Amino acid sequence: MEDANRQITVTLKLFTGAFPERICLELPPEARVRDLMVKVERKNFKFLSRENFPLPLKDVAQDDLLLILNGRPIQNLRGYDTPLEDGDVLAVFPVMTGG
Amino acid sequence: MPPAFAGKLLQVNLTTGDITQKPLDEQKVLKYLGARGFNARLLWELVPAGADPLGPGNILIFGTGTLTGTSAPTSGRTTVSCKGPATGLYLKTSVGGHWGAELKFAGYDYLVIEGRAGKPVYLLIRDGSVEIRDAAELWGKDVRETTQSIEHALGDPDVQVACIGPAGENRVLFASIMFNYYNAAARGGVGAVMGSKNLKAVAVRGHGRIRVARPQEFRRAVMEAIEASYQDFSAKTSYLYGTSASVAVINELGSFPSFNFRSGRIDNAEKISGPYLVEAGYLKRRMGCNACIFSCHRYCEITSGPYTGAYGGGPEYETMSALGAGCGTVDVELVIKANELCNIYGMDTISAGSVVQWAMEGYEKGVITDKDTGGIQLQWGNPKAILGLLEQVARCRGFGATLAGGVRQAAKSIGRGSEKWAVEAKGLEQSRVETRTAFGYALAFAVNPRGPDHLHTQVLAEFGTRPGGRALVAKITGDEKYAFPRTLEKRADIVRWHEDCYAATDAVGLCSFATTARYGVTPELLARMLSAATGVDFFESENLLLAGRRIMNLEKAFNVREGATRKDDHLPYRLMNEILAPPSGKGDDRSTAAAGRPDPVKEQINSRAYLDRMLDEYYELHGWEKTTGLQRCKTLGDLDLGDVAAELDRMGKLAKD
Repeated sequence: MEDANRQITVTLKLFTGAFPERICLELPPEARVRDLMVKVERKNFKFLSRENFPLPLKDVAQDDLLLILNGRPIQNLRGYDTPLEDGDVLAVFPVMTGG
Repeated sequence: MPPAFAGKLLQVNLTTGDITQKPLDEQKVLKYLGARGFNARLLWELVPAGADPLGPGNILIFGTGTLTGTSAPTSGRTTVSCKGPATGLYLKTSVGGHWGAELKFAGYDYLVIEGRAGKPVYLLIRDGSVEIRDAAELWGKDVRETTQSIEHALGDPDVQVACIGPAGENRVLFASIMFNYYNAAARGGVGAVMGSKNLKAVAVRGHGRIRVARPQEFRRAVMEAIEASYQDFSAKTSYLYGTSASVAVINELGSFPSFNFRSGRIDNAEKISGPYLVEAGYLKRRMGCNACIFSCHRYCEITSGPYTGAYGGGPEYETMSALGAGCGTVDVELVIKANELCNIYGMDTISAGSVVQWAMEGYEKGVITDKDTGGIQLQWGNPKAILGLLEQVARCRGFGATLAGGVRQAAKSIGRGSEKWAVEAKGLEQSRVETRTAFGYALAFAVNPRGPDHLHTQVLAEFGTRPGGRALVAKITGDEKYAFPRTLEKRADIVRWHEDCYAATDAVGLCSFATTARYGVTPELLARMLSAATGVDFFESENLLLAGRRIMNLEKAFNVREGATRKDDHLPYRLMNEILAPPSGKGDDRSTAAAGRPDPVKEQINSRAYLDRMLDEYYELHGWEKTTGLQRCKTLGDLDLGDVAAELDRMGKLAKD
């Protein structure tokens, strides 16, 4: 029988500068991307004050951030409602255009 | 001539020395909007089918945008056009900087170079006076030396110089024309065409002004365009980090071409990214083109270590991939140095990187040996190999002479299956977009008249990551769900809209970062700026897009006249036949179906079947015949290209209605 209190672990890669800040977060099994972003915001990490990063995370328009879950933009999945699974990696970037 | 134009076309025949100034034909220029569009018309009229791209029968056109020289945001673009030596087909390249505006200030909208000089010359254009000058002293000099020499000779540091380096003189098929040191008209070998004409440089200085017809209305539209552009947060990251800001993002997506497109990912890609250039102190200043509001251009310098003293404009995203990850390295100092060599020798960094990585893969496979390379060991990431080959290519010496014709010719020369990792189509090396993960891009690259790259049609909207992009896809297709790159559906519709818009953007003289990449300047805004600037009121947005389609069809017709058909609209072998690994170990689309996405394609590849399906829809949408790809009389007639249709018909190259 599964443990009802089992948490999932998700790795967050926050690109506030050249290199990502890596954070492992524990979340309830039904967590979605939105829940993770709220949790990060509440932790109030010091590096979340960079001029290149639109803030606050939980309020910012989804489109000012680029969120990539396991190599897929969340807009190609289910946006902030995309469910998370144990072992997922979510990379967060400010939006960029280049080429 | 209406306001916004200087009003004159300058024609210089280097064979005869004749210099002719002609008033612009207003009707004709406005029909094609300007720059890329009018260049295409001139090319159609002045270059006969079958002309040798490196012979005197080819022409080289420098065309300014209709809004170039005004305050319209990002309006500093110039289009250089000719028959391309790498492909034998139509070629246009767009370049930023300030040269185009200066040409208009000097009194000319267009410069057409014909023939071939008997000895090296350069052209000096100063406020309506034009001289063909001896360039014996300049021949052999690199871009930096040439530009400095002309500035010193004229005693004018503000003169705008477009010139070639040794690569152009030696007719390297990916030689660029460099504008004021750091802005490159790079792709397809325009520099080789300039070199074939013995033309070393075109120096321009002007003190005139470009006026607009309705200044208040123009100012309002300009301010609106600026405000709309700044609504997007990427305007800020573009300024902060330049085009290479997106390296880490694209690597995370598993779509950053590495190891000659064998992989979409390289470890530590962050070390060759825009943010790293800033944090590690290489970035010394940010630069913008004429009337730019983004300033994405970089100036970097190395002040210690083995490459001390290396400096130059860039490196851009494409260069980071082509000369970095593509060659198996994330050594940013090596990329800055390699970029400097390409800039001073006058070579396209995309194609230069492509030939090096093609050779490295051949070396790894044992197809290319030390005997071929003259002892240069071509292991992935080897700095001596990368820098050494670039030197050799520019001078057409040693193994570099084999690479100077691009990967298609090199693979032909080396053989033994090496064409399978020659990442080119139509003879042009593909730019650094992983088209196995984005099908709109794949289609756009396959049908691009100049070969597979992103500077003809940017379809960023298909990724669905930006609100403007999603809204646009919904407007084009009727449903936002098609803003999804892993589907074959509606790609033709999305690509054709972007073709139209990109062509109009180029013709008007704006940067695609303002229109098809960031959506701030819509076709409606573009039309309003044009109307206010020229005083000609027929520029409704639909007319603008229709004019873009006319340009695209004329460019296509140029290729058809040269013998191109559907068989030429394809992608590099590797990208059609080898599956790209998914972006992560997970790599699943578990939520995609639940999100209602259409027709998800699982494999990361463009198979022949996928491409054929998209091509069928694309040709049909354009009104072209599907099996041959040839245009129809009615299609061209509807675009007011009846004379083009008549010529193709005479040659038996027009599809039946």
